[in-house]
Amino acid sequence: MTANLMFYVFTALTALGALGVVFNRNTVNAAMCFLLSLVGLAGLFVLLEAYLLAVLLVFVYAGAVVTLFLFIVMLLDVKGGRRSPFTKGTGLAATVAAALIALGLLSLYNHGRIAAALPAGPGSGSSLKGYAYQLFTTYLLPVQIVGFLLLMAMLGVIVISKRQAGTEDGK
Amino acid sequence: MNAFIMPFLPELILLLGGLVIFVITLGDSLEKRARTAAITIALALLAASVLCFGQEAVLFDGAYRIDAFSQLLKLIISAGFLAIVILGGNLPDIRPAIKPEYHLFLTLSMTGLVMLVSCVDIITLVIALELSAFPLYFLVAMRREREGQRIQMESAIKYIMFGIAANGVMLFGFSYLYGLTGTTSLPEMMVKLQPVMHTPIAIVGLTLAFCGIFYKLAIFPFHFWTPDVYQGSSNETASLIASLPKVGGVAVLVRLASLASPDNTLIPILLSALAIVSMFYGNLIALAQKDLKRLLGFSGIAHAGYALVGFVAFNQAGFASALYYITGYMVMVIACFVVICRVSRDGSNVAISELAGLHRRSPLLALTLIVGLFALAGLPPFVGFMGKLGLLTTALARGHLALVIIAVLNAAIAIYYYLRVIREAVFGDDGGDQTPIVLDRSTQALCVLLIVAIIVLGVAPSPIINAISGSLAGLNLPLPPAAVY
Repeated sequence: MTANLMFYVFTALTALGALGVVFNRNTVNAAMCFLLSLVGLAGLFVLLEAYLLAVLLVFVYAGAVVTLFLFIVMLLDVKGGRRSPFTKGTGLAATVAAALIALGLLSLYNHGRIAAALPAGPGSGSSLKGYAYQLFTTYLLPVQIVGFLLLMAMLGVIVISKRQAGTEDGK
Repeated sequence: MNAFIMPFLPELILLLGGLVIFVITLGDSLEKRARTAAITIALALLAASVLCFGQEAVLFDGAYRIDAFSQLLKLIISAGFLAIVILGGNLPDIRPAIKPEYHLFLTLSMTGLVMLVSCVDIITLVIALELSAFPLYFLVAMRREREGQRIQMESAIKYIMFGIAANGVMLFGFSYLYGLTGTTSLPEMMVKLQPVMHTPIAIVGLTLAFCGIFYKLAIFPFHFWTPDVYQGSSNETASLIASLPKVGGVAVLVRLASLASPDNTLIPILLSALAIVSMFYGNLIALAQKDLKRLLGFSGIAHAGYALVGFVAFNQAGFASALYYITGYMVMVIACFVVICRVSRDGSNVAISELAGLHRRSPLLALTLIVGLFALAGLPPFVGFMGKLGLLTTALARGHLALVIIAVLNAAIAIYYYLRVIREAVFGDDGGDQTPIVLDRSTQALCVLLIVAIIVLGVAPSPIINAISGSLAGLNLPLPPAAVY
């Protein structure tokens, strides 16, 4: 019962936080809402007994990534800015999209129930050893490729930001 | 040890090659050396793919499978890679200082694609998909800035935003499939998904998972980036984006589509709806284009729609004809882009009117363009015709008559704008500009090879179709094997 209640609390926190990110005009407030959303998500992971994932989420995202966002916001001095109001076309498109989503959710609610219990996952659970074992067996290749992905991301950022340093040649 | 290295050789060559180019990027003004390295890697990759053809292995605890299917696609992709490196030439529209990085990103993107076709685990699949996509975002943004050409950043932002959104949707779909089956391995998932495949959640999950691939293929409604990215990126980058990722996309779609059982009725309806909209959208808007790259972008959307027709049939022959078609498309579109890259002055975009008098300026380029466009239009004896014929035959065999009629109608629309380009190239008024275009040896060889490939694939399609069908048979698809046409 408590777990059920906690599930709804954390879900609400996650969803409302995410909505706050989208609707806030002030970038700092948006980043803070993102933080709230992440805390809710970490709570959901705790309920699933994935403690390691919850801790990592708080460390990496709430700790590092949001701080980075805030730094960038401060460095760039981003103002909220005015948004152009919706035109008739966007309003119509949004209505159609919302109606489609509502229809989808309704039909999923009516027909989407699954009678059989869902199978459990591999269940590395909360143990660090379980994660480590999986990372170095089944998911060894993705871990290795991510290294190349990071190398590429780093170089790409350097290449693109160099351009803005006024080193334009041929002029 | 040897049992690991041999099947994994193409990937190892690409990874090592990537590191070698990385070292080259650290030095000053080594763009020539980077290009040499890239060509060497492409040649080595092609040789390795030929050498490893027919290898069978399961690596990384079942996450990575080397089979006839993956090896065949690696061969196709490595041939395309070589063509793209040669076509790039000395990259006229990239700043000299970052040319080595361009080759590095190109190589890493190929690494992602080569790995993509072997992945049978969804986590590995997603990572490989990202490794093939992320370098492309940077390549788009690396175009030189100059007067009247500032849209590359906008294109790159559009590309990356759509890419990340589509990836997110795909991951969400995978999470449904994982929740239903409790495994990330595709073969296991295929077995466990069968009893629940008729439930809405499985269909929704699979459809969402398709979305990431639809983005790669530029299928409606994930097509918005296509024309802008083609226009905004440099000619060499556009030729890469237009050709190779689509082959990888179709390959992954084959692996994912095999998750659904063949008696499923909803997914073919969805796929045919998307195919129809993509074909009409791409072809009708292409009619009004003046920029050759934008025209190819819109026609690319239509061609992705044709390829999807093969998936509507939902049997082995359908998948085989989709793969054959997309292989042919790769060759045809590279042929068109060779012409764009060489006709363009200083790397700028090419308007259709600039092609005027091409047959006097460079007969070989004009011939390449004509063969490429005739093939794209689907005229015999070129590969585009055999590809469309195969797709339509398999769809018709499964009773999708309306879809076939619409596809034929679209092929007729497409002929108009392809012929318009050819008319401009052959009969257009060149205003006295007859400066001949000088081609280097490698471009000449590439043009000849592309023309030969387009004709040979079209005239004698049975070897490659048999190879593709044979490799599909090894995938253990839960499909009724159909007679190969």
